[in-house]
Order: sequence, then C-alpha cells, then structure tokens
Amino acid sequence: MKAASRNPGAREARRPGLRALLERQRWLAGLALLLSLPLPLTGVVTWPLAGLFAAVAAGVALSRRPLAPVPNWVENLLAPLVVGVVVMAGGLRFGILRPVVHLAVLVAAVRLPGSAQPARTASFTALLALVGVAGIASSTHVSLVVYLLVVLAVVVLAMARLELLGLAGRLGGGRPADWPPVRLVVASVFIAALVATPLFALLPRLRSPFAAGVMTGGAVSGFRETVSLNNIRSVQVSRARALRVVLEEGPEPAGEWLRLAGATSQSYRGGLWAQGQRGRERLLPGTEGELALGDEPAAPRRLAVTVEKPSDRIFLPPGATHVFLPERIPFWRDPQGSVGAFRRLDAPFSYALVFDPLRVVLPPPNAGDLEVPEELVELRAYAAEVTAGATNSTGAANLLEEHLRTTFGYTLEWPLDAPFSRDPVAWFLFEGKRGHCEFFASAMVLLLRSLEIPARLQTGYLGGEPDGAGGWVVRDANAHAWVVAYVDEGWRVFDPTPAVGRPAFASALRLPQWRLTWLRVEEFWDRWVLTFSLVDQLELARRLWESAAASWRRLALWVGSAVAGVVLLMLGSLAWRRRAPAATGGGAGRHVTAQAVARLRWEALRRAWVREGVTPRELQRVVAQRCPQAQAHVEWLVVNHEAVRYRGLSPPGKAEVRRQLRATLRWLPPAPTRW
Amino acid sequence: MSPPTSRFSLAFPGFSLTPRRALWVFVLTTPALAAAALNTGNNGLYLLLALAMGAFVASGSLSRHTLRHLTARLLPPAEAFAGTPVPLLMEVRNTSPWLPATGVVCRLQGLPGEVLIPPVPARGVTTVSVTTAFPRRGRHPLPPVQLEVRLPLPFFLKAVVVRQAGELLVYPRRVAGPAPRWASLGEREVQGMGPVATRGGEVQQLREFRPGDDRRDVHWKQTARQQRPIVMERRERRRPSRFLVLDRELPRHNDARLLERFEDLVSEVATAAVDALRRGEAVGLVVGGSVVPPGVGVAHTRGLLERLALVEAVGPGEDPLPPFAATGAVYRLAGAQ
Repeated sequence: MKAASRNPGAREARRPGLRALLERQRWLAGLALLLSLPLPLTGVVTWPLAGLFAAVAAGVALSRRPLAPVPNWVENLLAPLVVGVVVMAGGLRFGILRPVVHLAVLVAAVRLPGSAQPARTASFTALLALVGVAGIASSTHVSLVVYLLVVLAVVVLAMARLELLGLAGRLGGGRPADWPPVRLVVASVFIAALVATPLFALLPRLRSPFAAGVMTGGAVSGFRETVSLNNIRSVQVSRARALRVVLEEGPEPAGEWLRLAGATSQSYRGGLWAQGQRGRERLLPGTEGELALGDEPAAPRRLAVTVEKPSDRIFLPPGATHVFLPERIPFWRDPQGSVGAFRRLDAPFSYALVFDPLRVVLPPPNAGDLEVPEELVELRAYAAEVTAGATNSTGAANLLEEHLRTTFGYTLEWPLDAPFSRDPVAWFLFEGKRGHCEFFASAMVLLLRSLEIPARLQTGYLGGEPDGAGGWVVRDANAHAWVVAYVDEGWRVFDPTPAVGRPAFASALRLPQWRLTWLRVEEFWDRWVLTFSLVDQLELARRLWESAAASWRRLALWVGSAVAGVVLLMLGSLAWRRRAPAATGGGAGRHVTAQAVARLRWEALRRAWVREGVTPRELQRVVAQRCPQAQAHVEWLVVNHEAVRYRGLSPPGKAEVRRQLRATLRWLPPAPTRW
Repeated sequence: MSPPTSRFSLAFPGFSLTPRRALWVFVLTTPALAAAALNTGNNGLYLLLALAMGAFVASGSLSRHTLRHLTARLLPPAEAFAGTPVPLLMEVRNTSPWLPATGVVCRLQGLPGEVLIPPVPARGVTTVSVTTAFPRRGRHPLPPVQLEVRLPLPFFLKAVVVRQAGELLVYPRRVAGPAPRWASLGEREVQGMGPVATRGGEVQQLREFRPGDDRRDVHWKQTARQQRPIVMERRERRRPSRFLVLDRELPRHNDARLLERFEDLVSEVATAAVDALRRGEAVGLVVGGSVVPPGVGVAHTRGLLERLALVEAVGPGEDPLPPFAATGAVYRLAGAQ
C-alpha cells in the first residue's frame, strides 16, 4: 500500500484506459528512437541535438506512467530557446533542410511527453514522419534497405497492436489485448518488399538521381569547379557515387595513378580560386568523337569513365592525351587545361580516354601561373626559408611538399578561430596550421609561385575502391585538390596533403574475397538504387523491347505459357474450392485424420484384407481382428476421423494423429512385395 | 452497439470495404512523398514511396486472405426470451493453412451484439459467446454474422457477411407485471385432464410392509433396526392445478396499438406461467379454443412457452374461448368485449 502510494503513476497505469495510453506512449517513443537513428549518421542533424532527442525519447519510453503534455506556458518559454539552438547549430547557412529538421527534432522532443493523448498524436506523428523522411532521404548506405524493412516491421507491429488495444478496450470485456502474430508482420514486410521492388523501377523519374549526401545541407565532400576557402565550413564525408572507372587497356600503373582532374585553377584572390571563361577554346570532336589533347603517349593506357552525377566537366588524368566522347557536341578547353561541355550533361554519361601515367599534359605556363596577391608577400620569406637547401625547382617543390605534409595537420572541421579578415592561406600557414586538402594545395601553389615556379591548383578525384567487377568506384569522398607545378621544363603533380587526408586507393588485386563480395553488393546498390535514373529506365525498356522484337515467337510462347498457367491455376483453385467443403466435411481435419485413415485403408488393401469401398468402421474391425495390439490406436484414428468428418469437431493435433498412425502401422505384418 | 456505417463503404462481391482514418492519412501523404521524390530525384525517397505502396498492397492482400478463410456458425441457445440478453455461442473457423486470424470482430446483423474474437490459429476453431437480445417473440431466422478484419494495417475495415441456416423460437418477453390472474376450473370440465398422481409428498406414518407396497417406499434404516420390512406411508401431495386463460380475439385485428397491447398481454401470461412452474406448481393454459392441461416440468414449461411464442391475435369471433373458461379470470384486452 505504501509502495503504491509512493508511486501513484504506476497504480494508475493498472487501469485499462491508462494502460492503453501508456502503451501508445511507449510505441511512439520507440518509433521516435528508431527514426532518430540515421539522423546523426547522415549528418542531417548534429550529434548534440540528435542525442537530446534520443534521450527524451528513451526517457519517455521508459516512463512507467502516461506523461502529461508540457504546459503551454513552458512551451512558449521554450520556443525562443529552440529557435536559438537552431540558429546556433548553423541556421540557414547550410541550406533549408538542415534547420527545418533541427526545428522538427527539437519541437518533437518538446511535444513527445503527452503525445499519446489522442488530440496530440496526429501532430506528433506528422513531426516524426518529417524527421524520418529526412533521415531516410539523406542516407546512402546499403544498410538503408535493412533499416527501411525494420521500420516497416515496427510500424506494422505498432499499428496492429494499437488497433488491438483499442478493440480490446471497446469489445474485449476486460480481456487483455492480443499481439499481432509474428507471421502477419513478417508476411506484411515480405509482400511489401516484393511489391516495392518492381515499383521502385517503374516509378516515373524526371530528374537525375540526387545523391542523398547533399541532403545534409552542410558542406560535403565532393567536386566543385570553384574552390572557395572562405565559404567552406565543416565538411561531411559523402559516400555518394561520382564516377565509375574501368582500365580497358594496358597494365595497371603503379602508385596513386587514379587521379582525375575536373578543374585547373590559376587565379587566386582572397581565398577564392576563380575560373574565368576567358580564352576558352571551342573543340568539336572528330567523326568518332575523338578529342586530341596532346601527343601520342609512350606508355598508353585506355580508361573508360562513367560520370554518375550531372556535370559539365570531363574528368581527365593529368596525362590524358585523347578523349573519345559518345556525342559530337562541342566542348571547350580553357588555357589552364580544364575540359568541359557548354551545358550540363545528364547523368550517367560515359566517355573513354587514353593517358600516359608518366606525363602531365597541360598547356604551357604563362604569367598567370606566377601571380601572388600583394598582401601575401610574407610567403616569399617563408618559402625561401623552407627551401633553403634546394638546388633546383624540383628540389624546392619536393621540400615544400614534404614540409606541408609533415608540419601541418589535416582536419575536415571548420577552424572556428579563423578570422574572416585574414587571407585563408596566410591564416593556414602562420596561425591555424590545420585544414583540409584545398588549404594544403592552395598554400603550396602560392609558395611555389613566390619562388617563381609556375604552379596551378587542380581539383577532381583521387583514388577509389574496386567495384568487384574489374573497375573502380569513385565517390564524393574521393574529391581532392592537388598541385601541378612546372619544374625542370615540364609539368609535374605534387600532393602536399598528409597521407591521412588523401583519399585511399585500393587495388582490386590485394582485397580478400569477402571484401570483394561486399564491394559487389555496394556496387549493385550504388548502380541500381542510388543512381537509378530515367536513363536506366529507358534503357531497361529498350532492352526489353529489343529482346521481345528479336524473339517474338519465343515471347509469344512465354506469354502463352504464362496465360495458360494462370488459367490452369485459376481452374485448379476453383475446383479445389468447390471440392474442399465436401471433402473436408467438418472442415480442416481432412489432411490429418482422413489421410491417416486413407493410409490405413491402403495398407489393408495391400495385404488383401479388405476390398475397395470399405468403410472406416469395417476397416477398424478388420485391422483389430488381424492385429489386436493395434486395436486401441486404430479405434482412436477412426473415432477422431468420424468426429471431424461427420460432427464438425476440431481436428486433433497433427503430431498426435501421426503418432497413432505410426503405432498402428508398427503392428501390421509385412506386406507382400507384389499385390 | 450497431455496426459502423460509413458513407464511403464500398461493396464488392463477397466482401465490403469501409475506409478508415489511416487510409485518408495515407492518401494525403503518399502524393506528397511522391512529389518530393519526383522533384528531388532522391532514390531514398523513391525507395520509401515504393515500400509504402507495397505495404498498402500487403495489408490489402493479407486482410483479404484472413477474411476469405474465416467462417462463422451460430449455435442457437436452449431458450431465449424476447428483450432479455441471451448469449449465443459462435464457432469461428479459420481455414487458412498458415495465417492466424487476429483482431476479428463479429457482429450480428440486425441485432445488437458484437464481440472481439480471440486469435483463431491457422486451421483452428475458436468458440465465443456473443450476447444479444431479440426484440420480439416468435420464430426468428438465425441472424447473419458479419466478420470484420482490420489488420495488419488499418486502412480499411473489411467485412464479410456469413448467412446462418436454421431458426430460433423466441419466447415472449418476461415482465414484472401485476399479480397473475388464475382461473380455477373444475377438473371434469377440462377434457383430457387426469388426476394428479405423484409418489411425492410428506411421510404420514411408518408401518410394516404389506404385499403390493412399492418397494421404493421401504425405509431401510428402520427395516434394519427392527429386523422386519418397514415402509413409509405417504400422504399424497395434491398440487394446485390452475389455468391461465388468454383471449386472443381483438375487436380490431389490424389496430397496431391493440396488437402492441396484445404482446404485453402475452408477456404477462408467459411470465406468470414461468414463475408458477418454477415454484413447482402445475399450470394449464387456455389460448382461444385450445387447452393445455396443467402440468409441471421442463417439457411442459417449454410447451407452454412455445405455444405462447407462436400465438397470434385474431379478429372477433375467429377463435372464441371455451364456455367453461370464458367466465373466469381471463387475460383479455380491456374493452375487447
């Protein structure tokens, strides 16, 4: 009594109405926990806010009594606080989605207590749906499929359970509510997945597939034509697929050979590497779509590239000499060496190229490659100090590269103490001493230029992972920036970013089998789910049509067979349904008791004890006469058969029927081999 | 409680659909999700959309499967009085080979009574009791049973109506009416009525056994004590034999008000008869020209109630009371004669 008075909530929860309310509250809190799972992983919500939301949801889920809603005046007090937190978490700086989801998460956390009350459930569920959709839309990992199936199973379970709770409250007469059967939930998920698969392929698509990583709203790893050191904040690593590369001809080059540049920048002002359109040369591919960029290579390799994101750039290795494009549309090439189309090309689009891994093919240097902003004169002394022991330009560049790699720290976090008034490169070199690849590459270009060594900044992709089918997948996470410097009468690539910041390159030859299998799964996921597009749909339709047109007779046979099969199935089903009531008599016992008696009759026929048409009672008498030990078992079978067949009683358990049948058969003498 | 009705209920061969709130939520949110997917090209949203539509199909097919494999059979009760709650046993059978039926609600069509059925296992049977009340006496066909399925996702309420074979005789309503009006009729006046002869009654004396005595009257303890056969001589119990007389002639046969009052009259007669019979008194019944001699016991009670359940009002002169009954206490509508 004392315990109950100390915990009035627990006592109240014993009342049926409150119990239902408590269970509804727990289901809603559980769903909130489940839906909040991908939020911090995808970056759409920051960890502290996601943690706060999860903590509130866990607290509500573990509560032993139905919680009352937060009073209105408290909600009013919390409102400015919520807005303040959203602003502090970045506000609108990273797009619209992130603050909206932040707002939804915080409001949902405030409204979660009391959400089980019927008047508040709808609004809370809408908030939860928004949060869930944002989390799902910003996920790119294969595990999204498993997560979706789990969410569906939980939703089915929760809705069915709540429905049963409501029914039990109204009509149950005090009986506790049932749980939905596991088979029902599993079957629901299975059928839903089965239906969803073709639906996913058939649903109309108008836009190119949108890499979900961008939904985070913040800065994400990925290729950008223009490098702006000021505008980049903390960078989220996106695993969205960018390119697919296959080495078609030639042996795999040694080292970090998979380096594809999309932009080469020359002009630096106040943290911005600008790419002007001045001096662009118009190129029209030849009759076979060929663009010649340089001389025939000494050690040629042929590469096939598929761009999986809409882009106007052609990504080329530094040593690319020839490009083979699928369409004869005009392209441009700027004086720095970047190649692109005059319009954005829809993804996916493919092209091939020939490159020399030992060379860098770029237009010769000009005065722009030596420009250093006036406010960065301090770089000259710094560069001279670092390259004090160098005897030539190559040596100086190597020293600078080594110095930057070893002295500075790599981070994707935005340095909060970076002043906007200071040039980012100067801040990086003299104060921050940490940053990401664009800081390293920018600093090295400017340091080289202050030593009168022509240099340019290149951005694109470095490395990739094998796709399990002989190629490589290049993701947004492989986006990188590096330096091309004109040393010893030739362009050469330098990469001053420390190893921890350089995207990894994995050769397919060194991977274990399980890793290759997983890569194949990821490849399938990337190719046929994440980047599935209208082009794929049309291609699928075209292939189907072509195969149908090529073998219409076979198709007709297939279609005819399918139709005939369906008709036969329907007729069979109809016949079964018509036969079923007469055959089953009392219902569902036919398969056990009737079959057991039929088996016994067959055994008796084999032994020539009875004739066709013998009744169960006659059969029982004959078997009991021949095998007195089996009398009790055969009587049990026949009595139960009659009870099911003629009296409409429930059939006994299958296991018991089989046991009795086995016990009967054990006493029968061996049957003649021919009968 | 009456079955839920909706303007949007859709009837199909073999079953009906009633949309529920979850459907409207689904109908509103799915196009929004589709628009978002179409606008962004985000395949995660397409995946979610496809799965949501798949869940809709799965829910429809599974609930249909459950409904298709359910049958219900009503087992009529031993007795049912009009206006009195009576439990009807209902046998619900699930012929699905693999899917248990959960959350099934049974309603009696045209009558009050609904019940949530406990889970019916695959290929199994569950028997439940549903309490209903028949509004009027007489023969009633067994009411059709409506089976409703809501799971797994409550987009629709799917229902099937299972017709029931057989009928039920509902006895007249029992009322707390005025004191019964007994008619004391001479025994000889009632044709076919024999003397009331029973072995029961109080023991008047013990005496020695004489030839011809019923051996069942032997008092075994006294026999053992006195070492000679002793029998109990009983005083024959005479039960009162009384009649209830119901005049079923109405001055105006088609008058609804009179017919309603006639029903009340029948209820009064039935109540008086049942009360007396339960006290062990012999009761006879005169309805119009037909006479049921006094009697006791279950079969007699049932016979009287069946007669009263089926009695119909007639016009003047169509079924007069016998002369010996017409003069005593008669259940008759005031002003009828």
